[in-house]
Amino acid sequence: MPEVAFSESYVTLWRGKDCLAFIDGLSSNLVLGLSPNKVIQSAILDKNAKIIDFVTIINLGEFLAVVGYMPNFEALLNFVTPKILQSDVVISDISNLNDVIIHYEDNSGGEIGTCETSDGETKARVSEKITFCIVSKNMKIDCKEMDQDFHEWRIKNLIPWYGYEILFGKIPYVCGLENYVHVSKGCYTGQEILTRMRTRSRGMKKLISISNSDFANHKITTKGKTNSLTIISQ
Amino acid sequence: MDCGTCETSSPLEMHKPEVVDVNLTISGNAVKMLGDAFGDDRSMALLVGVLSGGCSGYMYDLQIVETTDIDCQELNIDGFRVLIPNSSSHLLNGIQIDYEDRLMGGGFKIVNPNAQSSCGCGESFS
Repeated sequence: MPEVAFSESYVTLWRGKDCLAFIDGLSSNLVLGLSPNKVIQSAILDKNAKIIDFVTIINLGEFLAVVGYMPNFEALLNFVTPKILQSDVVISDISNLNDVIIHYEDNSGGEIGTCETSDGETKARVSEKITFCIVSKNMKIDCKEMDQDFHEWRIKNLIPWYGYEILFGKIPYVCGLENYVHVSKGCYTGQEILTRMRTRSRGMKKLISISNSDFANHKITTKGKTNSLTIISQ
Repeated sequence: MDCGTCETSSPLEMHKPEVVDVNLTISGNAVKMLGDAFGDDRSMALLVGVLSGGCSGYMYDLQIVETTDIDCQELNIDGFRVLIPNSSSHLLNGIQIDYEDRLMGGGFKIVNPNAQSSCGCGESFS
């Protein structure tokens, strides 16, 4: 299966008994109750439902590993750390010790939403065809950077990505992240806005692939050789 | 994954808010309801805390407790013990605890001069 380095990622460790509840209260997907060796992706939102970061949360039992997009890291810390208050949450940055590699077109058949660790490598299967691999830098894995092949694959499979569709300050419903908004989990930061958008069908957008010959009418988010990704109103 | 010897990996430096001496008031309605809740037993205390989350980023957390492990400042207001976690004191200074007797959306309410906005249900603020 093909793989690319996710060089613009950060990896953090979150320790403490309140970690899951803490992230759950600040993000769009149902993080609370995430069992050990399970993984979930969720958008951490401000009160206006704008994305601070879209993170991959891996429950490794003793702690959580949280992977996100490095350009958003400082904003994420500025947002979450004042909210820790008396909660038992301690965050460590281990980005300089690890690389993140994306396995795509993963047809290995592993269960979606699970992770496993062996030989210094943590594999988290986040969706049907994508696995996040966190690998110790000591292992010196030789992996190519994200390239056009990866983006062509994303276009074909309608996968939004950081810096293209998933943008800081955008609302999940206009980024192709609607599958990461849990509609019945209860209150979380930004929830009122998202609920209003969804129930009133206001401002909802969807990610589609269009032929490059249709360029003129659309703002392209990821350009491919024959098809491209764009986000249109529903 | 290399977790930097997980248990000892250095935590990030967190911004710790200044601890302030909290002043708060309790409205007549809330005093009456607290009296009903506590009865004559004044060994219990009202813990007024703040948690992350809610629609606006922070949400109030009211509990009746006897003791707590949380580092708190203790106030005595109208004969009631009130505990305020020091970690939330900057968010709670100057609040008024009120009680609204309504069929829908009633209950204890917190009027907070530090809040820039709050969500529809009044439990969350920013």
